[in-house]
Amino acid sequence: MPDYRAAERQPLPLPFIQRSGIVDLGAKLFVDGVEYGVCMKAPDYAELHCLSNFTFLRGASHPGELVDRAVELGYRALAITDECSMSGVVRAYRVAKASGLHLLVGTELRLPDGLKLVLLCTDRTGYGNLCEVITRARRQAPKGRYRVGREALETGVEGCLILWLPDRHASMEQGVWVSTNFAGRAWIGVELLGEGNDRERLEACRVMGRRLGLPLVAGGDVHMHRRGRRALQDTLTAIRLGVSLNHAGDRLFANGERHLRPRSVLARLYPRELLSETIRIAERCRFSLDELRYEYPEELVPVGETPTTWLRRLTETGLGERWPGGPPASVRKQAEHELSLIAELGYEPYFLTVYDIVAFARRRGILCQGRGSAANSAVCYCLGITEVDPARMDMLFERFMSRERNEPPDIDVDFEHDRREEVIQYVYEKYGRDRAALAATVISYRERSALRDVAKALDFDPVQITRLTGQVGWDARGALDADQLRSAGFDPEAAPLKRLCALTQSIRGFPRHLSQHVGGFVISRGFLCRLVPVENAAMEGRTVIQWDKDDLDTLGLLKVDCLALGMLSAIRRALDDFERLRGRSISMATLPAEDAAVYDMICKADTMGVFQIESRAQMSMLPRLRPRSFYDLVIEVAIVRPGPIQGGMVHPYLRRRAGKQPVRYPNEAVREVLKRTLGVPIFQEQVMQLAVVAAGFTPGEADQLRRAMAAWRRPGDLEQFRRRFVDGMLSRGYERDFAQRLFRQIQGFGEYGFPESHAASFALLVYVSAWLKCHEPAIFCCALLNSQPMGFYAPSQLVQDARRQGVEVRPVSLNDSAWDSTLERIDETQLALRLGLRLIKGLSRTAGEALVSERRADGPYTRVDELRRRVSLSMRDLEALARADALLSTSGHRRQALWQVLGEPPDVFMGQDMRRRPEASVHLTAPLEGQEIAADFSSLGLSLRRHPLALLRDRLSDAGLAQAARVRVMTHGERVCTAGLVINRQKPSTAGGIIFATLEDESGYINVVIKLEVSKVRRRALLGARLLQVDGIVEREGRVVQVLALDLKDLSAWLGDLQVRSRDFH
Amino acid sequence: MSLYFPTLALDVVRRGSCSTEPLAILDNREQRHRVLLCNRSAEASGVRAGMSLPAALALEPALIIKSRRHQVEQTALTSLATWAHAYTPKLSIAGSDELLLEVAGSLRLFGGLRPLTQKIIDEIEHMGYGVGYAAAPTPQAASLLSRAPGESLVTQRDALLTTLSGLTLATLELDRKTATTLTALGLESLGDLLGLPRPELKSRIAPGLLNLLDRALGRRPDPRTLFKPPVRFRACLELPAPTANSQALLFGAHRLLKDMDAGLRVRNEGVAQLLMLMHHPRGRATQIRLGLVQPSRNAEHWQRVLRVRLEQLTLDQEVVALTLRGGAQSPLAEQADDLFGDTPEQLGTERVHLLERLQARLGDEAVKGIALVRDHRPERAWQMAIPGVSSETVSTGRRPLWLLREPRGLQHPKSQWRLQGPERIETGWWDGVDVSRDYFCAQTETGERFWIFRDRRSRTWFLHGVFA
Amino acid sequence: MQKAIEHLLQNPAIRQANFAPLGIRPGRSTGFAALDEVLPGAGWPIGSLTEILVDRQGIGELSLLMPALAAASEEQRWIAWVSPPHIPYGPALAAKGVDLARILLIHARPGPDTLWAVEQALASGTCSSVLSWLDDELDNRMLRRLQLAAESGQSTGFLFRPSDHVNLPSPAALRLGIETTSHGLVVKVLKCRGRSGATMMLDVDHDLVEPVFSHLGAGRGQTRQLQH
Repeated sequence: MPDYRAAERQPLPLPFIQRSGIVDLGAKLFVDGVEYGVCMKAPDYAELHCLSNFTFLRGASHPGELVDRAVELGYRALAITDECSMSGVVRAYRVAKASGLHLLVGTELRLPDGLKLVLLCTDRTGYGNLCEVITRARRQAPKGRYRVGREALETGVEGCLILWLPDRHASMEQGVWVSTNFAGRAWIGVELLGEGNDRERLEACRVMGRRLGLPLVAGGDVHMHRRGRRALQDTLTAIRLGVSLNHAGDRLFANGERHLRPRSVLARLYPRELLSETIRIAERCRFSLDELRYEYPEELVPVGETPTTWLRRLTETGLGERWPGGPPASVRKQAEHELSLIAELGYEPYFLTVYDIVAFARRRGILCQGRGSAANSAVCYCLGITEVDPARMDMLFERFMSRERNEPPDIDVDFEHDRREEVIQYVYEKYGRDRAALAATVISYRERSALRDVAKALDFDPVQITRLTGQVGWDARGALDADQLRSAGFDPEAAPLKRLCALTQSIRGFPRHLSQHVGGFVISRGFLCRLVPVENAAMEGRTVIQWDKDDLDTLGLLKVDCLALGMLSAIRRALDDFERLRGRSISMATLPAEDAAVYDMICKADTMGVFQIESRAQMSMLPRLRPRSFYDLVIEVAIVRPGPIQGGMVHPYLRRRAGKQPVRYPNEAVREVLKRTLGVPIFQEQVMQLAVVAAGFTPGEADQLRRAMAAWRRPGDLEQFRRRFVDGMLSRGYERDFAQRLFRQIQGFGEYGFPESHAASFALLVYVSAWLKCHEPAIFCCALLNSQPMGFYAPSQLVQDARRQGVEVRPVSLNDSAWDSTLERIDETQLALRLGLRLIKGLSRTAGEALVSERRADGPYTRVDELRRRVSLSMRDLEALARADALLSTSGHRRQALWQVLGEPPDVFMGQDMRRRPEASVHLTAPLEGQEIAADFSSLGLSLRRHPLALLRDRLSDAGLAQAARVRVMTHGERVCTAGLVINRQKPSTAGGIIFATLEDESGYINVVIKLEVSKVRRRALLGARLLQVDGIVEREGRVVQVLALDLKDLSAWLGDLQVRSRDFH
Repeated sequence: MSLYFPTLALDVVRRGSCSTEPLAILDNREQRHRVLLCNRSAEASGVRAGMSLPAALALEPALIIKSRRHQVEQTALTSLATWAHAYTPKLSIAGSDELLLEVAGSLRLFGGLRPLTQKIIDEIEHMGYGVGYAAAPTPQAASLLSRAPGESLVTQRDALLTTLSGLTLATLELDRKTATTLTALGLESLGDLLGLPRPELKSRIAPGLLNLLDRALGRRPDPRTLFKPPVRFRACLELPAPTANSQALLFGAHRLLKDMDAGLRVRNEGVAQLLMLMHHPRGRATQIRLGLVQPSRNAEHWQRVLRVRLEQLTLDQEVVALTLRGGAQSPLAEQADDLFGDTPEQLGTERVHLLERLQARLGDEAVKGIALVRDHRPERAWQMAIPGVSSETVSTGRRPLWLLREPRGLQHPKSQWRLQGPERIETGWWDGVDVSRDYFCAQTETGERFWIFRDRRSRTWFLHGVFA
Repeated sequence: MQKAIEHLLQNPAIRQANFAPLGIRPGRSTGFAALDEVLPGAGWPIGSLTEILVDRQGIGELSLLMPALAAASEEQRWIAWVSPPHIPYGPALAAKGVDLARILLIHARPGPDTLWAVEQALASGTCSSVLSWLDDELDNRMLRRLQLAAESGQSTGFLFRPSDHVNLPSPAALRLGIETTSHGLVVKVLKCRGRSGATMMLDVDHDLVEPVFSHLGAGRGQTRQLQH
């Protein structure tokens, strides 16, 4: 309150207060003839205008919350009318179906001329029209916006009812347009929201309605399910406007009336006939999402065939190709079984669709492999969708498709990461944009993004926000950790902090925008946009539908996932090189199976670069699990995952495998589920089956449980499941500890479920890449370098690893290197790896390729000015070449080369003699070895010279620091001081704050484990050091050696300016 | 001589306090916040310049963070320049963190270069600034040398080349690209650079760098803009006879005001503050501070303002002399001098004069305008403002012409009253003043109309406005 | 000299003189036809004091002035409020068409400061209107000073006084008494130079609500018609 002192000193002359202030409290107050504050008898009501939080940053309640509340209030129906969107309706449908609420589907549209309408669809045609209108409106505008004009509505919305919501600027002309275009199906929506002029508004609407012949109907402009969401709704508004609440002012709503109001309250506000009109409208809207039926594309079946006969024919052909001598009886039986199940459920077109895409990839020579619950079937193997030979492993995938649940089959296909775009373009081309689009991924608020946006809205300054997001974590209940708040200098009891915490917690999980799914295509027979609206994605030329994976699942719509996988690119390159250089062709399926040398290598954890099992956690598991067969790899891939780790299943499995613990089953049903994993549940489907056989869930409930884990849900839901699960198991005689561990495992799967079929597909890639590494290290390393970025390790580590395996690696050179890294023959069998120009930082691809093709045409380059004359290179490209030491053959050492390229270019149009005065020759001192190494790293990210630590070895030895090779042979419990370059640091979420670091020196790697108490005090060294000294204790378990750090020290200063980057995975 | 203040951004904050808590100055030029400078205590925790803010906070959670304020640094540098004026009239400000002093003429006065340097550096350090310094025959050389560790006081031109050759390339403060190129060529010192043949070098490096070296070596002229210390008006007047009569004092003051007017007219500048000191035979002088909304130099205008104040003042001693001190001077906008110069966009001079007369007697707070604020809460939908401020019009519901300073409690509206409404206002939770009210327009049985509301939480009634 | 005359001619009060009958200075239209009709200058007198004698609040006593203040907003002069009893509420003023950039709120201690401020405002020539609330009894000499100030500043001075001051002598050009009935505001012209008294009922719609649909429905009443 500004100063008003002068007035304050005067007594307020308010005689009327004394005169009229005291009246008896029993008196009734009437406002416009209705007694104020009194509830009326509740009439029937249907809310026709309601936004969910899928009207991003406007709606403040989840669709399910709205449905639940509408049921609670006894509404006859609820319309979800998100603004130009259908994104929220499926979620609402899921909940409404369970509670039996009549759900109406509609949308709110704002036209550029200010018209605000709600459209509700009455039938399937109306729904299709609405989807088409939304699609057109969205496609005409950049992502996140829409544009719809009157003309689009004049003809395009048959089967829809129209509510006109006149605002202050409404004109008679608008009303006339509404009443003439939508005669008999248009209303004036009257929304009385306590704005002070409700009576006048109603009166004005009545006048207008009489003049236009439009009936009136009540509406609530609902933005939230309860009044209590008011603060959240204001916050969302502020975020949407990009201002803080303090500055949002009257752009916020004046009150919280825009919630689902009790019917008795509505009765006080609205005349009876406006309320009963909502029921009449709801009764006219008979459309339900149940009616949506997916229609498969037709063109995949040739004339004269049916999908069933065609799929059988293709399968037969595949059987013949895979087994020229005839398939084993078990495979034949399996294929027959699958075909009959597919026919029974009518999923042939789905398999044919996937087959078509895979066949395209094969024609183009793009390597691909299917995974997902349906992928590892005999039919898929025959169709070439997967390469996992069903005869090779114990195919017990009878659950690849579930008859009981009628869940659509799920096949994900991985393609080479740098060629997936070709596949996507093929799909668009084959089916057209009207029939194919990517599924959406709903990007929701996570802890950090929620905290940041809410803090901004509450006017926290940027420094405070950085402090909050950087230093404060979340406690078990999902609230900001009070102790951490205090240590970061905040008072958790202060009102602003309390507001921040409460809002952050309730905004978490709110959708923010739609993004494209990584590769899930929906392909339809007719226009897709009559099934679901399609909108623009952020990426140019991409469109997404307004539903995500879960929505599609709910409605039983099929999608085909086209994913990208770097390892497939590398394997394809390696297989190509193998064929070219070894003169024979192999494929993923024909590679020699179960090769002992490969498993020997894997058991030694010598797996850098191998798919999946190259991570630090996998590497430390390998010597313990000691895989000796393909199925062991399947388990290896699946066991180092949050699910089994959180469920505490790793050690029991290892003990049983080592024979240290007997394998026992409580009953036959459980034995059936767990027999292949020694009685320990490892795969996702095993746990789900246990929920059925051990906890008494129905398969449908088990599936709900899985979904509840996958999506972010309110903690209450989870608790409900947990109790049922544990009680169910207890009542069937299982131990509480086992039940609880199993449930934790389910929770662990939540983030990334890993079914057996997935693991099997991945295991094949593990085997293939391990085989290549074992038998063709040069080819393998070359392929990895050319497929970067991928995997856990940088080129430097990959190259060093190859050299340790005896591969000769040759430097980047102007006259020898191609753009990619290449293989050069040393003799009949030996191959050398020549590094490619692509490793050079700052060299453009066009320049690199131009100079290679010119060299191939006209021979090697001898001088820099000659290079300049023959190829047009920018100064940037030339400098990059010089710095990479690639000009050694033409210009001498890199400094000299750089000096030369920096000089003025020769004039192309004058002869050599006409040149300017010849330049004085300049001799720059040659770089020292350390400088060369530093320059190599800064330009190429790797060096073929000595390891930097080899240069420092004397100094390191003087300081008593042991080499990695020495550490590897030390005994358990021995004290050790060592040092190495930090090549990565990991802080797995499952490890309770422990940090894993990997150090490297000239003799190998040292794995370091840093516990919280050390990392806390030595935070600076740990986070900042490039060269790290570790004092600690050797921990040895069989062949696994690691150093438990007791103290850390930053030795980076020793490196001078050697640039070694660490790859951090936090 | 060059005085280089590498830690100016930090010093302007640090010198104000004696605490040694970890402190970092943020470079806020980019969107991503990075540490520009930090004090020793922060360094001890591992905070370094160039670090991102989250990284710095990870290392030192208790870090105090200040954003860089260029304005403050400039002011500090200007006042340092003003101070340095005592040592030489010829000096210039170079860049945002350096002073260049021409000291040749001052050497004799201060007993030579060494004593002069010592005195200057001592004083700067006493003021709380970190400083690098050097003396050389050319300003550019001094500037380069001041960035190098150690002390160099070069007096001979012949020694310049040798001294400069020893400097590392870092002292040139090169852009990243040039710096990496020179390093990649294996060049480390200025000497390495100067050792290369000039034509070849010229075609390979940016022309600015060669120019700079030439200026440093005195091969190229290097004119600098001289610094002029800011002036403020200050004048004194001895009164012919001691007096306490306001008319007499006003007359004397008018003299001084005229002087000021004349002085400011040349530069077309005005002042917004004046301090009038009235010296008495004994004791402290009586002070009158005068302020205007807009700067002015007009003696008559100031006179009117002063008159009001003098009339209110009772002096218990006679005055023997007057001193008039002007505040900061700022350029005057071109203004018409006529009395009723009402221009639509600007407050006319006369309108401002009325304000100033009223404020002089009643106090600044007693004369205000009204502005609208976009807030649903009625008591926050307006605020006192500088008179003449325009507001964005907003449409609201029914609002009374009188708003009570504070809502006044009512027991219960009479049943005879006619109520219209409610208008429900519930908002403001974020700043702790969350209101939840139902407003009504109430007409009493005797015809008055009031704006009343019921607080939805306490269920009590209040009077908040009058439809006057 | 020439300049001063030119300036005088720019004064809106003088410009209107061409259209008024000789001898009677035109006033500032009140916005109420019935009231304008009985006032000599067809409006609130300019360069003079108007006294409004009223005891009750909330009967439309300020709304009565709003059309004139809205019109006065067009001038580049202040509309000064000296020591008002409550907060003149910005949103409502703005809704009535008053430009808030013209409003000058002056809070002075009751007594000499207030009178001084009213006089300053009236005399300065930079206030088109000055509204003041003077509850204390004013002697005639004081009122005369204010009247002179209003004249020299070409200002319309509104003095709100309790109705029991009706018997005190006053140099004001116009004195009105206002009362309310259930049908509306009753305005009594008590004193008016060159005219006899009159009594009339005015509809000042002092709790006007903006129309729900601004492009439909009726206009905003008389305030709207005033603004050309």
